[in-house]
Amino acid sequence: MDWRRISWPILIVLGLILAIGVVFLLSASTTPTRPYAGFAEAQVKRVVFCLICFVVVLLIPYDWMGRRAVPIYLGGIALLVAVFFVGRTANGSSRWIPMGFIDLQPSEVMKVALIVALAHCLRCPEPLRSWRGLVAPFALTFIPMALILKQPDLGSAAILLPILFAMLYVARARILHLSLIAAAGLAACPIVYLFGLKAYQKARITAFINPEVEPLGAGYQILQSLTAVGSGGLTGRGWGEGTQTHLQFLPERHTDFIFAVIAEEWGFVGAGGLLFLYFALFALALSIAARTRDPTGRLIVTGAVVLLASQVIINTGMTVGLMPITGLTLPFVSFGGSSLLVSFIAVGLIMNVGMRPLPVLAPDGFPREFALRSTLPTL
Amino acid sequence: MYGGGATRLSTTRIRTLLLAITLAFGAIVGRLGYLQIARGEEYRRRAVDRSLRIDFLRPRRGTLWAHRGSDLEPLAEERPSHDVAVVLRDLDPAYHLVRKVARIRTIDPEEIDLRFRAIEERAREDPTAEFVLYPGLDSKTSRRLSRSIRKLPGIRTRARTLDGGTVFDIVIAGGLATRAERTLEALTRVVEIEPRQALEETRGWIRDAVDCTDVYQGLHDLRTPRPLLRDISFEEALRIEERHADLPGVTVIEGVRRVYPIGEAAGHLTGYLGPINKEEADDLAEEKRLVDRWRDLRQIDSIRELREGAHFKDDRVGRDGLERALESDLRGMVGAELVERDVRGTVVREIARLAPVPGEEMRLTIDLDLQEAAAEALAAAVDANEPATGGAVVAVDVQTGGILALFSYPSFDPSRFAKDYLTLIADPRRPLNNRAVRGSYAPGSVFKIVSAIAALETGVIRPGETVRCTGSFRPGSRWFKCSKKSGHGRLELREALQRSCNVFFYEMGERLGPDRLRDWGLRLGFGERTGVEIHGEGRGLLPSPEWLRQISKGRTPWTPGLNRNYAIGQGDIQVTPIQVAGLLAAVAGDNTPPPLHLRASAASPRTESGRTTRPGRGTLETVREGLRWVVQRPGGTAANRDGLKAVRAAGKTGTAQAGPDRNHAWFAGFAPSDRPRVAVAVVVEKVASNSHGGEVAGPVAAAVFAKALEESVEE
Repeated sequence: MDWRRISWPILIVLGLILAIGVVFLLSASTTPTRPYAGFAEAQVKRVVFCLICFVVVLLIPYDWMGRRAVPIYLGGIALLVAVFFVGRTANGSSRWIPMGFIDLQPSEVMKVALIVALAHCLRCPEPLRSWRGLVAPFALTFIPMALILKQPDLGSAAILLPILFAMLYVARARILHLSLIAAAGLAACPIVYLFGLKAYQKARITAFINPEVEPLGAGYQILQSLTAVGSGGLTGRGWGEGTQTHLQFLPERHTDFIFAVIAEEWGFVGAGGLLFLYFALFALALSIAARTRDPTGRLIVTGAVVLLASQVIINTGMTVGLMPITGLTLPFVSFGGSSLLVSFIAVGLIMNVGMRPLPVLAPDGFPREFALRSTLPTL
Repeated sequence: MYGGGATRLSTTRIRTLLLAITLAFGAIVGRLGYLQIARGEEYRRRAVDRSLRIDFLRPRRGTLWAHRGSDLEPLAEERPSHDVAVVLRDLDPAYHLVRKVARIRTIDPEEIDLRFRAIEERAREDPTAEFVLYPGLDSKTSRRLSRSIRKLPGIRTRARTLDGGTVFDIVIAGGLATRAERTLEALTRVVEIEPRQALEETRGWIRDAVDCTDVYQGLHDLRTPRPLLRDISFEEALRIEERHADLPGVTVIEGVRRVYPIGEAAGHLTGYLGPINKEEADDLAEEKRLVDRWRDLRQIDSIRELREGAHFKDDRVGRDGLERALESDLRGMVGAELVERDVRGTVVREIARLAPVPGEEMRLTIDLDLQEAAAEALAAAVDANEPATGGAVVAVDVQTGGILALFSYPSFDPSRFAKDYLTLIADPRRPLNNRAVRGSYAPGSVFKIVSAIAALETGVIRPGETVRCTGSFRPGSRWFKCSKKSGHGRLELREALQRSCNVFFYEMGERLGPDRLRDWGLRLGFGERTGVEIHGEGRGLLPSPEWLRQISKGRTPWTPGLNRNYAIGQGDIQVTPIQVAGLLAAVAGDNTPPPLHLRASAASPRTESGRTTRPGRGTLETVREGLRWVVQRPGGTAANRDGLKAVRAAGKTGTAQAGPDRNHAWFAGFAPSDRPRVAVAVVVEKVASNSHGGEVAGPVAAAVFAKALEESVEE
């Protein structure tokens, strides 16, 4: 491990995103009659806790994790099964295991476990060139997906798919294979819609397509969100001044729709700025992936980036009405322990890889200068 | 040795991945730009609209002030009251929830109502049991409802498995389903209320609020206390507060009530307030338009003009008497307050405010002492003269034309109007009828004043000319009798008035003919409304040959006999007591009196000029002389009325036939006769046929004169 190789730009970007998050949690939980800083304070405490976990993740060499991919993966599955027995039920789905300080959400843990497992499984590109080689990664993904769907938590289950596809893609699976599978999946969508979805899930999709159909029902959230975002204009209504937020028209202000709060109060400039910070984070992380010779490390980075990026895209996408409403949070900004912890672990994994240019037995075609540099003893 | 293809490829793939992320972010930023920049204004307006609400502010209704001596006292006044109000959400949480489910799931509300009523039935028998209020909700709906349910003990969702999925039933404790019913039942032990009716009413309000298109307004309505029963006593209010544990959702709020301090003694004069009709009230439904205008606060004046005719849904407006006639002045102007509200409708802050303009403080010409004296005297007169069914008295200030007292009997207490309404409309004596301005009576001999003026003015009789009365008059086959069987002998006009000689006036009727009689009747204020500020004034009727032809479709011809009856105020002629009071006020003075009125501000002094149609001074002096003799000379029809003599009154009695065995008893006069100050008209309707006008109505007038003159002595 080489502390000098720590990526300061990533840490700075991360710090800025976290700061924005806390600032807007303060705004989102304050009503004109009742100033309330509880959420922001709790979030700060959680950030401190997550930073400790983050450092722990940095200390454990990722290749050590890679070698223990099987027990990690099985542990994740075990937690997912356990949630059915000891989970806390809220709003009709059992997603949480109470753990005192934060309620642990096994589906969040599973995302990380799956990334490690897939990275380990896909580290050798050769088998992936055939259909048979794709069975294992798909099986690894679909088992936890099925368990998460059972909770039910459609959003968390769905987010595993982009992780799988992106990692397969970067691991050099055939584009033809991936396209065919994706096409088949898309073709199955109407069937899933008709038979696989629950009424409220269908209603959300209908509401996404036309929110005005049921403005007080399924369309309520999206209409309020669009109004909040739109009313922000170019420069926003000012921090703490958004009426949609402060008069509580906007639901789920400090969790799912925190981006709408930012867009309302800081306008296009603020919301665009936050998106730029995320983009910078992902671009920096992907540059680590590109630099990393070790396939496991490279894939872990890819998986972690896609995990975070798809959450950002889905969350902000639903806020601006580009995607149906799912319960996915905005990493580092939304209030929520599990999501924050997993996001920190994801960034921890990325930086972990970046700090450990592990020696690699260079396959054919490995550029000499990289091979030489990366064989220098580091630990 | 170094092919490099595979590695480069995967670096390319990472770049492609970054490109994909870039595109996705680009799409979101593009969408942000569209929403925030291209459509930002529209959304901003929507957000602002949603956060604003206009609250209208009730203006204070103007007070009706009357004189008592040199002081002013209220005749009708607004005072704070205690009202029983209900918070719908807390009163009937079960029904509220039922309607909410219906709204969210767009279920047929009728069906869910039936379902709820069935549960109510069963819950009445078994309040400890749990009932399924609504089965099979999906988790999403259940989740949204759980927020409303959370704080309600007695209602919860229960998960169950159905076709492999989980659905949720709302189950409700029987006690909660019947809660509103029990609450209203408990309320009957404190105040007078019909619980079934109240329950239906509040459920109607719940339906309106839940189904309200402006959902935020609906939420507001569900949480804001709404008056259910107005104006309870302080003791009742205290008892409700004491029992609040048994009365969830019931509170006492401050309201206003209209108080009529002298009550029944001025019931018809003041009139009463009643709830506004829906059609009259919809003006404030323009709320949205107001918000639009109000965004630019400089346009605040444009709201002012909209407020002019604005009413509230639960406004009470004048329904009779002065309250109705002066409604637009008394009402004042609605104020408004632009407030920022949160999603629950709670006011967060006030943005702008346009204070309500209170109604006009109205000073009336009424003298309370006189009004009370008139009321007392008339009530006594009517009650003492069985089978009289009612009567009216009107007193007028001769100098100003201001009404000093106006009373109709039987009367009612306007403060208790709503409570007494059913009794009042069932009363055969028709206490709601304002006889003073609406009652149409044959004037009888009182009309001889008009005939006398007409005769003198048209010259059909010369001053001092006499007519011989033999006790009867038989122009053809029919007998027209005089009041004195043996006849009055030869008498001139003043004596004819004094003794109320019918034969003299038969002769005048013949000489004048219907057109001149009618003409002078009109000039002296009959057949038309006096225009006094009381709602529903009647015109009376001055017949004419054309009128008779019209109503009989040409079958009944006008005969000379009709002329004779006309001149003595019998037949089809109809007058109102206030018209008679107006006549006496006009006769009492030489100058043109101002029109009759009740508002002190409308007063203007008598003028020399005015209508050229007024009788001349000589005529009036002659008639006044005759009227003085009625009271003050032996042989006058009111000569033995000591009360009238005592105040040196002048006047005319009248005993008009009103059906078989019934007469209307009249007295109309002024006092004191040398310098008249007050004119009075009194009628007592349907007295026995052996009662004489002066004897029944005279004392009432005497009492009014006495009171009026006693006061003027004090001054």
